[in-house]
Amino acid sequence: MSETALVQAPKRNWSVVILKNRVMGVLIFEALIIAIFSIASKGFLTLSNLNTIFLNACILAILACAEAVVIITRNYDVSVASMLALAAFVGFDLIKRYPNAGPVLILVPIGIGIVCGLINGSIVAYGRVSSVFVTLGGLSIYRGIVTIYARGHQIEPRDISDWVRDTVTGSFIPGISNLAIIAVLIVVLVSIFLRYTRIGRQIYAIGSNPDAATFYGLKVSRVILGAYVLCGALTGLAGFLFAARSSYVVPWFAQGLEMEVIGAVVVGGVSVLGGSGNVVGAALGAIVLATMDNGLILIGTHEVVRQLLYGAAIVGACILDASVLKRVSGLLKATKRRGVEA
Amino acid sequence: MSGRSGFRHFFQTYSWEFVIFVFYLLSVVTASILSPLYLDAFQILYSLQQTMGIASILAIGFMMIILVGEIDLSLPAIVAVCTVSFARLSISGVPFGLAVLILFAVATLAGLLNGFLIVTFSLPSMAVTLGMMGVYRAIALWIGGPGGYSLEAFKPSYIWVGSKSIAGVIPISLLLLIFLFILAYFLIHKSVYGRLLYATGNNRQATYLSGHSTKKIIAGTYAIGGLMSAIAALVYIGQYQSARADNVANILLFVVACVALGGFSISGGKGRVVGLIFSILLLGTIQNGMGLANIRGPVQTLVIGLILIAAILVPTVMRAIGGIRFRTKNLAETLPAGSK
Repeated sequence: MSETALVQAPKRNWSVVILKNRVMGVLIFEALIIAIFSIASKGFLTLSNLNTIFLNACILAILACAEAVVIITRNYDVSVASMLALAAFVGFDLIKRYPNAGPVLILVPIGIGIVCGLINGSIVAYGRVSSVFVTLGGLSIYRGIVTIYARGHQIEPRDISDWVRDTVTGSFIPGISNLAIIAVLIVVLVSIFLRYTRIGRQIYAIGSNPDAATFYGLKVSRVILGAYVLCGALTGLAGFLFAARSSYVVPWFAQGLEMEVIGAVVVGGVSVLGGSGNVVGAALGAIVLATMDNGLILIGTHEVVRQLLYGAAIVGACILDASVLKRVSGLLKATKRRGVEA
Repeated sequence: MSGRSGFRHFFQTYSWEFVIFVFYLLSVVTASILSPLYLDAFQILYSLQQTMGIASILAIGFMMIILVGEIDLSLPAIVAVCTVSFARLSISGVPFGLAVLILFAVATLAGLLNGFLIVTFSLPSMAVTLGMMGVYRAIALWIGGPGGYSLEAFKPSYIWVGSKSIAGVIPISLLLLIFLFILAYFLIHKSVYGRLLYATGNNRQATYLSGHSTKKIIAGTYAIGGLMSAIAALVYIGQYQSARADNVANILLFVVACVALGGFSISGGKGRVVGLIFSILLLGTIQNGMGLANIRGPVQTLVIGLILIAAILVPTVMRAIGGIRFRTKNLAETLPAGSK
């Protein structure tokens, strides 16, 4: 009896601890880099700079949230940047043309995102084909459409109506930017959706084992399509916010952003093997990347270090996730074997 | 079943390649109708080399990685590293042969590093190579600086591969490409390693259990991918005579489109070199035709994207139709004989 107790006691394995507290790990990492940067640079740890970092992270956080939903289903969407550009450009072009239409036009970018998501999702889900290839095609198609639509024009600050600027950069609650409120609200809502609704749980089930989900009777294709549509809608909204914040929209708007988005998701502890992680982690990943961005610029290192760290962060997070997963599945097997023997 | 002749068998095995070839002939006819300038041997050779040369060299490496069921998004970034390194070595006066040797080795090692990370930690190749893409781009930026290098950086001995042509008609890089395709054909279809690539792509577990190191096989494909990137860089510096850290950023779409249209499936173990050659010819002709017909760049990219999606979807649709036919046939066979 005492022997079993001895065997059972040290079962608090490090890999399980990391898996359970993955979001905590991201927080600790964030605290660590904040500490490093505030030692290295004097201007870093001021309230206004931290505010800037947070506002910079907001849009990336919404995008990471969108991408995380797709990645949890064990798929990718590499077309988010092109989708965002298409939604932002067409949306703001309509705002420029119909200045009197008012806030109802916010539905346009979201609608475009939904349509793009429907296209991506239906091909991936019902065609049973690789999501990387499909969304790589989507990446070029949406970018092509926005370039053709633009005909060499661009959206300039004077084309943007006042209501847009008021809603996005203004603040309803004094002291807190609306952008931050919207971002936090979206992260919380999507998090609740994934955690507490039936479809949200189905998304996790499909990501962790698609075959089992099929045999269990889940409508796998439909749920994957839904995940892509949600991703598209959030991307469209992010496009609206991004364009309103940066005031300039050109056809090559946000080119290459998909790498940062997937980076944020992976750093935030969402496994690219599907079925694990949550959107709060992905949003934190976005904050980590934004902090790194800001701090490196303040220190004065250039683009090289930034890109190198981005890449290394993705690879490092992958290695961490994979080794944790290996340990956990090993533990599961060991427990099962013990169960059989006993 | 007994009436299946050799000819029919040939068509059934090579049906995809045959379809792509027919499409290629159609595109040639359309292009020559659209533009009177098209039908000219020099024009065809030159433009094919210009538009598809680098993409097809990369496609050879990408094809092997796809064959084992993996993916590598960092190949264009390795090309960028090699182009700026060529410029740097040229400025420091390193002889061409030595530079080629160094960079071929470095690129192979870079590819091998991708493969090593993927097989040792059994990581998802998509995310890892996305990260490595950032790392290699950063290295390229570090070597080349933000401005990159232009024509003055290259000694004439460095750029002959991509810029000279034999008797003014056949570009040297085209000969190099043909040579690489012949090598790839023998490696994939006639060697033990090639058979192992198919085996790994089709059933990794079975290949492992039959006593082959799938890890070495997969890492090998990544090394070949890296080597191909260095060769592509060699052609690139001759063709464009410039080197920047952000060059060939958009080539991945073409490479993926070529490989997908060539009949390769991302899950691995499918596709032939012949299919890749035909698909490169087809895409090259479409691009060339669109260029001659004054169709703008964004529209061209859009068309390539649409072709990529069509190339992925068609086999699925065909399989679905085939599945229905198969089921009805089975049903007919199970019916009692008297009911016919």
